[in-house]
Amino acid sequence: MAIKPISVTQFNSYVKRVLQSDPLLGNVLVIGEISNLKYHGSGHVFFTLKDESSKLSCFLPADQVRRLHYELAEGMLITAAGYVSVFERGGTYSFNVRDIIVEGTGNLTVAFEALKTKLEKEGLFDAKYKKELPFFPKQVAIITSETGAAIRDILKIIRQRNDVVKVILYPCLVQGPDAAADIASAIREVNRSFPETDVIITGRGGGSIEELWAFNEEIVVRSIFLSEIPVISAVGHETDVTLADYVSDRRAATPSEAAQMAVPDIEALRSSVSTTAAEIHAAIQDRLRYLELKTEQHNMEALRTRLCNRLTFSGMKADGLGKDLFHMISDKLSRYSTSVEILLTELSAGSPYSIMERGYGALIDGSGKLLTSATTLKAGDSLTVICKDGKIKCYVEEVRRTTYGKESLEF
Amino acid sequence: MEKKALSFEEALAGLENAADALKSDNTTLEEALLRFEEGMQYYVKCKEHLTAANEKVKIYDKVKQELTDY
Repeated sequence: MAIKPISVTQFNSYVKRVLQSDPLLGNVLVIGEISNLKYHGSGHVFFTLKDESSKLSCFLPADQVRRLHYELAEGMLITAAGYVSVFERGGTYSFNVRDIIVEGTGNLTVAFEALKTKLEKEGLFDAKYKKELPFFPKQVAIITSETGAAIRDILKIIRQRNDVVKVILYPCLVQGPDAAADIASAIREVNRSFPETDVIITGRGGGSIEELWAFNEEIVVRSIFLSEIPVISAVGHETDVTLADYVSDRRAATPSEAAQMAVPDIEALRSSVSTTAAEIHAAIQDRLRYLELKTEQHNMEALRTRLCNRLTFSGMKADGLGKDLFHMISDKLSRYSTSVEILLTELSAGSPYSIMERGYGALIDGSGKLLTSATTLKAGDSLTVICKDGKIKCYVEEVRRTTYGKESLEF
Repeated sequence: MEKKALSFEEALAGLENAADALKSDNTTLEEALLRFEEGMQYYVKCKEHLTAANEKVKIYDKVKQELTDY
């Protein structure tokens, strides 16, 4: 039986109806490797899924892109969930993707690196955006599962170190498809409802890369970046590095380490503060004692004693000098009197009386004048001879003058 | 100094400054006594912060939108 020819439009329309009404094609999972990945300006994503022998055009609408848990990359093996979609005008069909699941460490690493590169380019990991953790927080918010290992470890360390800080536990999912959105909203909520919080710790205990994946999702990374409150990330163990670690203000290797970073050891602080106070006490005591001593050195009683001592000393010195002076003057006097004695002897030697001792006499005329020449006398004149023990009154009988040793009689 | 909302960091810095000033010999007695008084006040502030002992763990109840004891 011949079938009546139909138009191209009718054909494509029919194919569309048949394909889209098929229950299997309406909800199917397809495994393949991403190639020809293209981000359209509208936000839609186009790519081809391929295996060794075939290709499938895929369309990922912008709405779904935003809900995606993984950054897509060329060569990544994914499982895409979706349905067949026929483009009537082009006579082509494609796979309309609802969700994408990435499995296996290799593929997740590709997704991790792809998002890391993208956010790094945007500057989300720049050191200039890192906030300082406060030294002495009054309130810490912990965003994690209320039943997980992380909260137990964090609270244990905080209780050991600090009994002053207030802790708010903001519970959230930390794994599964809804975890990332939950963590991101928790970070926003804490910023909005508890802005007095000094530091946020977000993280979880160890697990597989799939279990930790929420901390590699863009929505979480961006919420940490936008947090006004400093964030410490604490995901898994030392070796687990997530994008949350890159974007947070500090990365802790483990939840316990995050707790140590977040709060100071209050006992150490107490003892340090007490030590400083004791130092201040000691310093002021020292200062006062020193000044007391200094004052002591200058006190009036001490000064008086010193003055008295000085006076006594000066008196002694004056006495000594006086004595010296006395000795000196006596000395001088005795030396003078000796000289006087000597002079006296010398004087006595020159005295006319001492000549008289030796038999000489002095002649004086009537007027008492000493006679030294025979020429002033003539016979009949009177004169007096003074001897050692008396006077002799005489008259001149004759005068004989001696000239050059020759005597001549004069009248 | 009279400010009530002196943070622990500020009080600690004040205490340490006072200690340093007191340890140096270049201060006058009057200044030393002043710094001592000041230091002791900072010390009291530090102690207030350190002995507040209000460590409480609260959990946020998303349904009631309030904090309850953990």
